[in-house]
Amino acid sequence: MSAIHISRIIGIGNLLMGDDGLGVVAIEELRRRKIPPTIELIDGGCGGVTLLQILAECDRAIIIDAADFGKKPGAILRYPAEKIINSQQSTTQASLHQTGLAEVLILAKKLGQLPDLTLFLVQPQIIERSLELSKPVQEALPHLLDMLIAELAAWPKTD
Amino acid sequence: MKIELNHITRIEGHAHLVVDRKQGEIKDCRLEIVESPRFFEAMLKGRHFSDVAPIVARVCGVCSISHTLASLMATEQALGVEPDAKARLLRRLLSFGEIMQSHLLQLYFMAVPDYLGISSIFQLLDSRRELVARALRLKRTANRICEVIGGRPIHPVTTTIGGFSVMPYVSDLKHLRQELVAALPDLEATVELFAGFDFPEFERETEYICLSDPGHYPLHANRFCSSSGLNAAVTDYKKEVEEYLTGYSTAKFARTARGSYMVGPLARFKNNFPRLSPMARKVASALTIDADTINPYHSLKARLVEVVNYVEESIHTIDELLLHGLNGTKPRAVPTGGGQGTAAVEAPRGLLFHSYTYDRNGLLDTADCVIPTAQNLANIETDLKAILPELLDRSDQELTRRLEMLIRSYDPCLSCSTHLLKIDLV
Repeated sequence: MSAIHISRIIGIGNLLMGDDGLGVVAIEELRRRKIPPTIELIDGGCGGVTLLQILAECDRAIIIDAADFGKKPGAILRYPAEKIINSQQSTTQASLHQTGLAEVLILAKKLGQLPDLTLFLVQPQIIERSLELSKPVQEALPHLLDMLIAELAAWPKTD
Repeated sequence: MKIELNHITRIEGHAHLVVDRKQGEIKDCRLEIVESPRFFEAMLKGRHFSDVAPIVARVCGVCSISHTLASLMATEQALGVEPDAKARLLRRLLSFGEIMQSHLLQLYFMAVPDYLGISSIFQLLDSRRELVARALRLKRTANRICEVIGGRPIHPVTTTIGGFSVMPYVSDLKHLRQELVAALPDLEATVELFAGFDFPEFERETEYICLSDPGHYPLHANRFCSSSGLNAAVTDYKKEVEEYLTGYSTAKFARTARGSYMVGPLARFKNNFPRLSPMARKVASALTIDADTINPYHSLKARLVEVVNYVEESIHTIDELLLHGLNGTKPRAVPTGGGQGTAAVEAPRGLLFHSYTYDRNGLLDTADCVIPTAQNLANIETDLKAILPELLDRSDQELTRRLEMLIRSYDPCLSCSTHLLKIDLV
């Protein structure tokens, strides 16, 4: 097995749209925690297709994002990327309108540029013009960070 | 009969268009814009000037650099700060990178499917993999400019009031130059691809507005001009451009005293043809487009000409930076206090204005932002109305396709807010 060289945690979303910004906020919070220096923390903002490059350049990654999976606001879901690709492939193949996360993951997979990727998704309460996270998402943030740190501890050491 | 086009695909956002075929008219043309001036002001009011540009950078994922630079320049004007020549060069380079990123995305991901008769570039992943790979290689080169100068591919972090907080490394600039030169064969192949496309014939003259910079193809400047003789200071934008609401749209439209107008690549191209690089002018000729074109579908060609122009200009800008060195470029000391400032930049989609007033504590009092898409909306609608009679004998499918292509040729950026992922857990 080849050695893993680049590991990234990528937070995505829009800071101006309430809970949509939680991925970016989580990255800022992670910078204050003790994260191994070999792991790159990336504020992916709302870069759309640019995320493809960020993924293509690494071997292993975590993406943090807001997602609607029908649970209570603040609920956290650990989700393998493959599952999203398999479940959304048929519906998104028709168009690339508003290049969202699912489309980028499908594109990365088809191009053979998808790293070993896990998603940490948080159910939002408010997605509207606001610079603040909602209370349930704010309260979920420390748990999310703990889960991420536990996930990193389980990663094999890089060379 | 009525044809409704809901959620027109392959534009950045949502649009809704209702065509009454029997009457031969456009019943409803709704293009939703998130960056409304009211939201913009509410978001920024009371913020210290040092916080304004980083917030503004998040307004849009596609044109965060343009918003950041227009914001910084408006604030600098309010505070009486002038960045030095090197900072101005670096800002130019950053803008080139962003416009290339955006144009390449529009050309390959949004427009190529129209001209190849497919619904998405996804469909080319198996049959024309090289085309998709080329699109992504070119996009990566444009991303690299933003990364080296702005600190990351989007939402720049190195730009600051008065200049740059972090300078790029000379070695990174040299490497970037190599990457830009290496992109030339991919650009050639792109020109070949687009030269082979069959562009719809449609002509309608309008007023073409862009910044005016006598020495350069326009990018950052203090004056703006038009094909109808407009020549004004950016600070007077409110005297020249009137924003207005219509009954059926939530978005603001814009007009001059003469009516609707166009901003963006075609306007820049038409008003500045002699200022294009020699290679870009050659590309224009290969794409059979010149300064006289009044076909809005040709915005695509202008976009590609601009990509070539900016690659060449980027290489020259890097040479200039390397020649003079990057040492000694530090942001000027920023005074305290307030004032009023207005600035404009050429964003990928055209002219972008930011205007602020700060109180004496440096806290924002008023903010206004006029985005390119808002300025193009009335012109898009006028184009749609003008082309409709020419298309009434076509099939519904073809009529829809032509109208969608016309809207997409403007590359309207209607909502850069959220792309929320939906998952059905089973």
